[in-house]
Amino acid sequence: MDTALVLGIIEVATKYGIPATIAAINALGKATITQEDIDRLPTLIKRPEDYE
Amino acid sequence: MKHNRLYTKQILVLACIVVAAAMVAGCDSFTSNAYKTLYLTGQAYDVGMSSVADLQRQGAISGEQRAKINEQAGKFYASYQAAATALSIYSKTEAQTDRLKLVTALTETTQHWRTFAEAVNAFKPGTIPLEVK
Repeated sequence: MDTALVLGIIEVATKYGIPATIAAINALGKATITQEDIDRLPTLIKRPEDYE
Repeated sequence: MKHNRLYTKQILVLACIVVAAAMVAGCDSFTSNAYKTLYLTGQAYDVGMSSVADLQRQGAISGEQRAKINEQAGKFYASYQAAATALSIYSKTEAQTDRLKLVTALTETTQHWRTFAEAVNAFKPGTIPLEVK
């Protein structure tokens, strides 16, 4: 993994603590993608009108 | 105003991570790549829409502008859901026809992502990346 990417991740995690960033790191670090992971994809985002 | 800059920076950093991570994902299998592309695009959409909602609450986006963004976001949302379904089917069957359907769905998702990003960036340039591979 590129150093700049690692620094970027650390910067986000320490300064902003974005849960999405942590989740993204976890997703990228997964050795295997399970059927359960795939079936969870539709629930990860909301309809546009649900963002209030 | 400071709050807006914070969000813009937050999104820009996340966008850099999304693009870089998508590049890292390039060495995995087809299913894994498809999953990571959808996952990361979904995360970027989620951050983008949350910021749009925040900006609207602050009065930086009018109801009319929000409606235009929602229109494009809705198309992205639908294509994302279709691609997620296509991926779920392909991961079970691994059939060539299902793989083609998945590729088509992912292409559409990428196109709608671009339109969505353009709609957001139209009033706040550089808010989200145009390309998520």
